[in-house]
Amino acid sequence: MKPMIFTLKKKPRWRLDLSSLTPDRLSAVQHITDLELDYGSRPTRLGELFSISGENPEHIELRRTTELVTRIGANMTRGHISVKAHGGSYLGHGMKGGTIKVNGNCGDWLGCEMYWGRIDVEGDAGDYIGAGKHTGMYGMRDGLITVWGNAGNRIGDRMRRGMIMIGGDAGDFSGSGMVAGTILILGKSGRLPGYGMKRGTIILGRRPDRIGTTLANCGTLKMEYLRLFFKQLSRMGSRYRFFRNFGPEVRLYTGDLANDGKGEVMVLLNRG
Amino acid sequence: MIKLKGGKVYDPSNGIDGRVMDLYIEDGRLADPATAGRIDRVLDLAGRIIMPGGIDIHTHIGGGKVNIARMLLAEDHASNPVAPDMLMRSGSGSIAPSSFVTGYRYAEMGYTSCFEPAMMPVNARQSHLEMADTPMLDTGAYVLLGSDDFLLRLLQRNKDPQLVNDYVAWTIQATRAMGVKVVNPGGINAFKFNQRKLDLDESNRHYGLTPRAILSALLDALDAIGVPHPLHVHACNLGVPGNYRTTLNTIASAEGRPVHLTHVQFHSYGQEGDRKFSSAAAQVAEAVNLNPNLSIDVGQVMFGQTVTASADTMMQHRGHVHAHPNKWVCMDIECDAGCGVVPFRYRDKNFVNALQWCIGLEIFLLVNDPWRVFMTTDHPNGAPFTFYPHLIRLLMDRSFRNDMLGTINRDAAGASVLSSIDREYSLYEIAIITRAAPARSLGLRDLGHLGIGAIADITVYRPDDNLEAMFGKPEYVFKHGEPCVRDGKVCAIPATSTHVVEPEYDPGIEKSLKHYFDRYMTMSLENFKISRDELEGYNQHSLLVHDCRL
Repeated sequence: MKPMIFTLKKKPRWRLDLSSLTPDRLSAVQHITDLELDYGSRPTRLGELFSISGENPEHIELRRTTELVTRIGANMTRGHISVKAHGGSYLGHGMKGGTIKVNGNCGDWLGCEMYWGRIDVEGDAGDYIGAGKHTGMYGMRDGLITVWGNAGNRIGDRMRRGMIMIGGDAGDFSGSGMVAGTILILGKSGRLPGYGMKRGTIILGRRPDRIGTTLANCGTLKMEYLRLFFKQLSRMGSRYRFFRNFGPEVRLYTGDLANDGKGEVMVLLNRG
Repeated sequence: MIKLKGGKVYDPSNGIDGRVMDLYIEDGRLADPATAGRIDRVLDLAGRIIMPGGIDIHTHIGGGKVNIARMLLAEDHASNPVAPDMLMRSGSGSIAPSSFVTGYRYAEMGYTSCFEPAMMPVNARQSHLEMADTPMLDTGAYVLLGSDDFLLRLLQRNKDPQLVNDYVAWTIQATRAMGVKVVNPGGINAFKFNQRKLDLDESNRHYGLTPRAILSALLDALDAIGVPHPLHVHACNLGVPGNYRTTLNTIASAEGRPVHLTHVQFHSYGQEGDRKFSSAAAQVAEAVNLNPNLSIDVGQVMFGQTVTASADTMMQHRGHVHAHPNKWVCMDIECDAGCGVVPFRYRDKNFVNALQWCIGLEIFLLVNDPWRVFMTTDHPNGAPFTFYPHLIRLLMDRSFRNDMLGTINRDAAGASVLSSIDREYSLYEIAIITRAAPARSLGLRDLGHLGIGAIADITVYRPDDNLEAMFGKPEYVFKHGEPCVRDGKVCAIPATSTHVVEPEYDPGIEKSLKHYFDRYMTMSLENFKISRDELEGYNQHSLLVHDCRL
């Protein structure tokens, strides 16, 4: 069966909520064109906004989306969504399974409060990746978010478990208030990573612009488990093979001492 | 003129207990058919039950702490959005709903007037603005005194009682209040000086004043300036096992002066049994029965998620360990008092929570005189006000009550005398505790009854064996004579008003206040005062000024 392809007929003028376009929801409805989407302040029929082809609701493809779309794949539990253009904001919000692949950039709140699943973004992403919304206590509970481009501020804010990998640079306050989980930033990172973190691990490819005073410098050492970690990562696909060259030597900071102080921020010293 | 034909009327203020009679509404008031004009419209209400509009004497619907509760429970607001329609505005929330939703939900249960019990003087403007944005309801507020620095200084220096009277009267007028509430007298202030508990006869470390002295001064002041609603007292030691002794001592300390004890359920805990927590509802109810100067509201607990919001920083700080979800706020509010917001979930399988539920119902059922017990859940502290229909069913239906008793924690059910109480409230008594008695206590002469000349706030219920369904969905609600709810759905947004009293005071008090404000407060005296014109400007509110007896 061919993937179900939704192409936006024209640029949306207002915020367009696409949380209905998930494998779970689509396989439950009879007439997909009659499905109502929140568009601006009122519901609009899907058929008026999108042209549709293909028939496999387990594999959805979205085309010509812009930064005004929001909540793609929210609360999805299975299947695959492939976004050929901009991923919008709140992509994968609260998702519980399945995979999302974005070819373009993404807005803020990528994968916020997700429980499980995998999000892969080719381009850049905005602030609060894998974070908790203002209404929640915690950020992402589990799953894997990969951004190959750059990312904004406050990656993994209050995250609880899971992993976020940023291929490019990241903004300020990465892993702020983080409870547990892993953040891996290969490029440059901004000021104060691990600000207010409780537990968890932040691995930085380069030394950050500024490190917090409440993160204790523990000197350089070999973290042997990183060997296993990088070995496992390098097996995830051909794109990840460069991790084979990474060594376990790091400069370690622990903290945030202002908040339990069981977290660790590592700056990689040996990238092969 | 509208004629309401053939309904069964329950109007306790006029002694009407279920008499079938016609009512006439003209110009927003109940009219005498002999002198009134032509009948434009007849509503045939044969078989329906007619009561005055409900009056909630103690519900936290405006002011700083409610807003903090709203912000703290953002997840409740995110998961309970309310969409706008052509008539109603949007909102959100179920536990501490946004102001518009609060108004709609109250009206949909047949309530027409609500009183915010803890308005900080310094937050008065914001409270009034918020209540003006609470549609469908007449509102009023009690201003919070007793822990404010200025009053304690006056009492500490043992100044002329006339000064205290002037200060209290001035504050009521300046903040446009309906009465005075005192929360943990002096205790909020003592918390600022690192005291973590304060019993009735313990001294505040800084001022050397006992709660008893503060209570006594305020009781005298209110008596002297003639505010109709007696001092609204939130006593010391809220929620502490064994606190019923403090409650009894507080009742005794009134020495015959009129006093209202609020959310008494939280103040009726004994210390017996293996778990050192027991019901003292019988002792407190007995004291209520013996003291005709005393009225109470219950503050019934209902099971489920809610949030406790109180000015009582001392007790909220003590209770923060029970916060569920685990987040809480305690803050200082200038020289006035404090504020504590702790989310809480009452669980029916938990011994303490289940017994709290029993204690509230025991108080309702053991107090003999319904004119002195008012129905509240202390929204949102015991439960959101949307539980009222359920609570009415618990009071009116003994078998339902016993069924519910069978589902809660077995030890708590066994420790309570609830199953042995046969009393069931009648419709007449329900009309007293939700309408007539609060109106009488507040001195609302035109509300809470259906006599000629009363404001036509009327609720019409369709009789139903399931009382919860009946009280949850009135057939009609009239606000100022206009039908505004039909079959439990809002159908019109009526104009509303604010209730105030304006006791007299010697303007000379402003001289010392001016000095105090310039020195300590964040706003000037002139900005602090809310004028009549300003209040009426909020959403075209009208002002209803009630007489003070002098």
